Amino acid sequence: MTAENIHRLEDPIDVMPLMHKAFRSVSDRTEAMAANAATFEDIADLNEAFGYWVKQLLYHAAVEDEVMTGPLKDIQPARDNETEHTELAGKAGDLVSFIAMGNAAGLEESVREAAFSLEEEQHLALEAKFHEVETALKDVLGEKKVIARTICHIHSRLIGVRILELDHFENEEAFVISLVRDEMDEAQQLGIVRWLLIDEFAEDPRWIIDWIYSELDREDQALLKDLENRFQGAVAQPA
Amino acid sequence: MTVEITTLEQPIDAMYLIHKALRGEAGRTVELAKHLETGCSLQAFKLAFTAWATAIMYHGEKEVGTAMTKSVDATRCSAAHDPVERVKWALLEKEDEEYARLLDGVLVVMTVLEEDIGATSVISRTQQHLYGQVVALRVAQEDHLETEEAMIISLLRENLSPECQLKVVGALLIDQEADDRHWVIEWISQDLTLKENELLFGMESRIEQLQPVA
Repeated sequence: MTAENIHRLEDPIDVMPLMHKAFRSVSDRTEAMAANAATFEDIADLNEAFGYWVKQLLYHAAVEDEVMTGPLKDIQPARDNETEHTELAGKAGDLVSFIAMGNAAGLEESVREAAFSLEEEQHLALEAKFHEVETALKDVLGEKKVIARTICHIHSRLIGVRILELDHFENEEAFVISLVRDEMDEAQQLGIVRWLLIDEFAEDPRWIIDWIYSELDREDQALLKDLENRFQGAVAQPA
Repeated sequence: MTVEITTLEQPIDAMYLIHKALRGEAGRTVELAKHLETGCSLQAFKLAFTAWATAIMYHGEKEVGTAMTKSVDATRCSAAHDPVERVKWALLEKEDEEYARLLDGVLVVMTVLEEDIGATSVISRTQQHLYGQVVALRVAQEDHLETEEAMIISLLRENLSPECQLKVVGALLIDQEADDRHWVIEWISQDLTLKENELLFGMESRIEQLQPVA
């Protein structure tokens, strides 16, 4: 089931495509920021946007592993889903580290690639003066080009993360959600969904659900509100 | 913003014109990949990508292991003590590997086209994969061209005589093995301004004077 086909959430787990829709929005927006970035300040804004996206993604993946696929023992699609989360977190983490390298990250990466392919003797000689060389190269290219190269590298890497995310969501919607629907009853699904949407340990427990509301249109918001009432009601009921 | 090339101080500066055309092909291909829609035909994208890939392959093939890298007196390399100069020489020596990296990028896009899509129309997932790979290829190409412009061209300017530079540029601009030897010039021409085309055709005349084309 895709988000476009939803008319009502028969099973609580069907909220997943709505959550994925919110992720698609934030990733599309962040990629557009990268595509239009031109200055060092733009990279800082991009870093903030990407950091928020990653924060949401990591929480989402961790909760899914813990309470959604974790209990599905001896089921391969559940393990595949967890593996995809690891890959996604790895790739996102690489990009966070890359951005943290600063405005010359792109230059550093390309020059180091060239330097590492040198003969060992040459490499050692070069490595010793690496920063000196890098500074000289920055002078040759000029700051504008150095930043532009870094932005291009960030953009390309960001597209990589987004593609991995989209593939993962598609796989999850095709192979895992139906499993959850089959293997878990409504109460269990409501519990999972609650974990995914409400972070009890956070200062603001609603930081996820409120963000998802903000990314959805009115129709989808109504579906989410209905589901929220259902899991809040389930919690309120005595065991 | 594209900057107009107003002068070719030395013959090797014609590389900037070639680079401009390569950037033009990359830009068109990325735009087409970005706007591919589910169910649409891949024909326009395939044509654009083929033109770009052909240009990369020809350009790389003519740069690597031929006049450009072989013409330079390698003994001058050992005399280089300045770190930037040493990096320039090292990069010149590694042109083959740089080209191989670009070719890898071309092959990855071709693999997506053949394996993931196979058919003639697009689905959402493969559109994303295609877009991701052509952007990656453009980044790799841009790194290569930018580094070449900053490091290699200046090295060649300093170390090759104008005649030698003309030979190098001649090999890049005139395809002696093709039925239509001028296809490279015509291909570059489409991305150039009127003034740049004058520079290109002027360079072509100089090459032909040096080594008449049959």
